[in-house]
Amino acid sequence: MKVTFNGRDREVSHVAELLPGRFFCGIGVCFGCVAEINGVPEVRACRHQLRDGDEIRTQR
Amino acid sequence: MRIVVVGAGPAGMAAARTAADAGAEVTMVDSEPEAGGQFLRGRAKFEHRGVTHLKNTEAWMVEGHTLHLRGPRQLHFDALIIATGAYDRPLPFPGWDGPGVITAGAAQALAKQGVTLADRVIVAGTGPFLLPVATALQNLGATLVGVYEANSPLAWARETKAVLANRHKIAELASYRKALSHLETRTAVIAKHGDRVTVAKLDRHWRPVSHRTEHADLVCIGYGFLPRTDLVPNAKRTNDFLDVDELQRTSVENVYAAGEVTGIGGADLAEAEGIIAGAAAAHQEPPLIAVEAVRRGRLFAQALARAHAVQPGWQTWLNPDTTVCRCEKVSLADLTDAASMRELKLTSRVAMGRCQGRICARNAADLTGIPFDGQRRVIAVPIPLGELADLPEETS
Ligand SMILES: Cc1cc2nc3c(=O)[nH]c(=O)nc-3n(C[C@H](O)[C@H](O)[C@H](O)COP(=O)(O)OP(=O)(O)OC[C@H]3O[C@@H](n4cnc5c(N)ncnc54)[C@H](O)[C@@H]3O)c2cc1C
Ligand code: FES
Repeated sequence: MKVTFNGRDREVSHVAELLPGRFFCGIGVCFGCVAEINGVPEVRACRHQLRDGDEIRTQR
Repeated sequence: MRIVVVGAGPAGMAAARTAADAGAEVTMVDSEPEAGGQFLRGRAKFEHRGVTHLKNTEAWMVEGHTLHLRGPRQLHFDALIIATGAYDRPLPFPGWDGPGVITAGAAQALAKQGVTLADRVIVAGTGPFLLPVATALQNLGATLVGVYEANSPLAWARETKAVLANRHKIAELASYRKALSHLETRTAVIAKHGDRVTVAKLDRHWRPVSHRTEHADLVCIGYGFLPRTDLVPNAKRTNDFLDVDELQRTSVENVYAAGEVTGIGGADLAEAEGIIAGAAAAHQEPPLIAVEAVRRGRLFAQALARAHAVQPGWQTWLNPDTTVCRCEKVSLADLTDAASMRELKLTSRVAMGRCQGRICARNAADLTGIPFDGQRRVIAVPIPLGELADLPEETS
């Protein structure tokens, strides 16, 4: 998938690859993977089905 | 009769089917896009007459006879069945909060999506559920450096009654042959720095007696499970698992519980408990075959809890600067002297972050010697403030 992560183009097969050290439980419990996804704040990335063109932000 | 089931794993699906067959009007809510739960996700096709399955829908609070869903939206019920399952308990060690460490459940969820994250992997913890995870990673082409079981399998020699009643479980082990050849017991990962992983041999209290270095990019950990009980903060519990009677009733009126929220015994026990809860909630006599399956399954669950109990020696794996609470970056040295969990939270900020202690509260209690009083949160999921008022429904 081609996505934008903190403003940079990235190609990944899973959102976990973008969040090393933060993606942890994988099932919505730990909140380590929280990010802004396509403008929506506080989304648990592990519960988001990644699509081409998604914009993920962990910093402004 | 309106019955609401939270969770669409083996327990929730069985409860929903049984209650619907008994004539109830059933709504089954699950936060995931597909039914199946932790173990069957993606492999269960759920459709049943009389059951409305709300996918991608998270429940966050019970108030009287109303269940609040994110969206926001409410469901009213005559009986509620909690089948929310459990998640892996991680134990902290130097480096566990850095890259390349995830829970075994996370690894399993990723594997179901065909992703391994790394070439060289280690699975470490305690309990038989490490084996399917290791096998899934191998099947995706990862190199399994090791499966480290902190306990000794000899503990099972004392559990003949449970083993004899559950022979099919032992037969299941054969399907993990390829992973079993990498199994080392009384062994654990006690530190990770970059791809250098410190692997220790343990004594029976889990204190390291010797160690070596292995190279791995990903360590997947699971030291047993913690139940997801936060929808019913006031229900009676033992060791954080919900107490239920022979009809799966909790101590809260009209609230039943089934599956891993009541104890860990595998998918077949979860399913049998679901059948009983579904029948009882719809005021029917539970089928004898399910009652017998629960009896057998509980023997196994109790043996599992004994043979794979967490031993206190893990507390020696930490350095003063090792993170205990990932959300608030609270280290071992930051944990204050406190008389209660509440005081500990307020003074050290442990368990005060986004996860509300789901990951760290139990470990913090053990490390400080404060009695763990169960995870009593008022709200199951942190809700963005605006959503309470005016966000459109996100359910599909
Ligand atoms: C890594 C791992 C490996 C395992 N391997 C095996 C195995 O090989 N064999 C075996 O028998 N068992 C295995 N298990 C145990 C397995 O989890 C159980 O056997 C079975 O899935 C338990 O069923 P359940 O219905 O109780 O819970 P689950 O299957 O966990 O289902 C609970 C469901 O509730 C949903 N949920 C939770 N909270 C909410 C909420 N607030 N709102 C909406 N939905 C919610 C979750 O999304 C989930 O779908 C494994 C578990 C793990 C973590
Ligand atoms: S990885 Fe834990 S909530 Fe997403």
